[in-house]
Amino acid sequence: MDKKIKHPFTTSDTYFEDLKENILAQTPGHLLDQYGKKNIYSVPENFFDEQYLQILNKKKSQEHDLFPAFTAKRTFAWVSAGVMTVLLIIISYSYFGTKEINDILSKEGAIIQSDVTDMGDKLTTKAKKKDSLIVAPSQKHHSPDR
Amino acid sequence: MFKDDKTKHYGFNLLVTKYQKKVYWLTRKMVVDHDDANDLTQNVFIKVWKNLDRFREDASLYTWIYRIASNECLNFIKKKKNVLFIPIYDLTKDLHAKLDSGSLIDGDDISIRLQKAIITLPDKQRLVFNMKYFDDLTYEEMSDVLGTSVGALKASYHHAVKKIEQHLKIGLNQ
Repeated sequence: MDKKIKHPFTTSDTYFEDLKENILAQTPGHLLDQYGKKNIYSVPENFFDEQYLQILNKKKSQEHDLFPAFTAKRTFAWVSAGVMTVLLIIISYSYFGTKEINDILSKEGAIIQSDVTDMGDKLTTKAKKKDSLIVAPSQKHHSPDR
Repeated sequence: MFKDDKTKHYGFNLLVTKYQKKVYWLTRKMVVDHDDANDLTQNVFIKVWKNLDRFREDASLYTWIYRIASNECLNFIKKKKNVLFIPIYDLTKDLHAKLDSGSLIDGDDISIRLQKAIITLPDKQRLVFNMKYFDDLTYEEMSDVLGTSVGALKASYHHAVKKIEQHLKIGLNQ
């Protein structure tokens, strides 16, 4: 028998198109393809010509720059660092310097205070002694036989 | 041409003429703002000029320039995000606002939505996506530019596409 027997299976008319869509929908990139690759960014008129000249001018200034290391950014960075260092020194000196002075003053104050106290004690003792000396002679005049 | 002082300037001029727009559009897609892209492009070519003597001819000139441009973009974005070493600046929000401002932006709602989705990607992944999707670079070329393996780039691009589509689907359902 030469005639082939056809299979009995059928599908809908749109089945294979739908199948293709379903497969693509499950693969990343399908949705993205629908969005296209349109560039939404634009530039002002003559921008690229002007930029070209700017680049060449900058290149020229680079060549004539005697101190290429000192670009505006680097200069600003160095100056900022210098100012911060100076401020730090001033603040540290103010804080620690003040603290040290206060410590010295308090120590000196304590010494002065103790000196004053000692002196006060000495004076008081001396006064007491003097008083007792003053009292004692009068007591001698008044003898117990009178 | 670049080694000889007599032809170096002429060679550089040709170089700028040939690659200026490509570098600009690469940076523009990353930073969105025209003025930032302009500054970056100029910085790229000044760096190219300064390092022309060091260019090893084992890579193509375009790949080398592209690498400088990519690094400039990534460094610029990194600096913007970190103020005083603290990540306090929401760059994604800022870039979205720039897209909405319409300044030198010419696209329909769908195109802008796509760009907003791309902006939400991590910086390097965004770069990979732009290079593959918009610039049609091969993975081998991207590997030369970024110094990343082809396999890692394929994975990165695959994840980028999935994230973008997810983002777009959320947008469509709103």
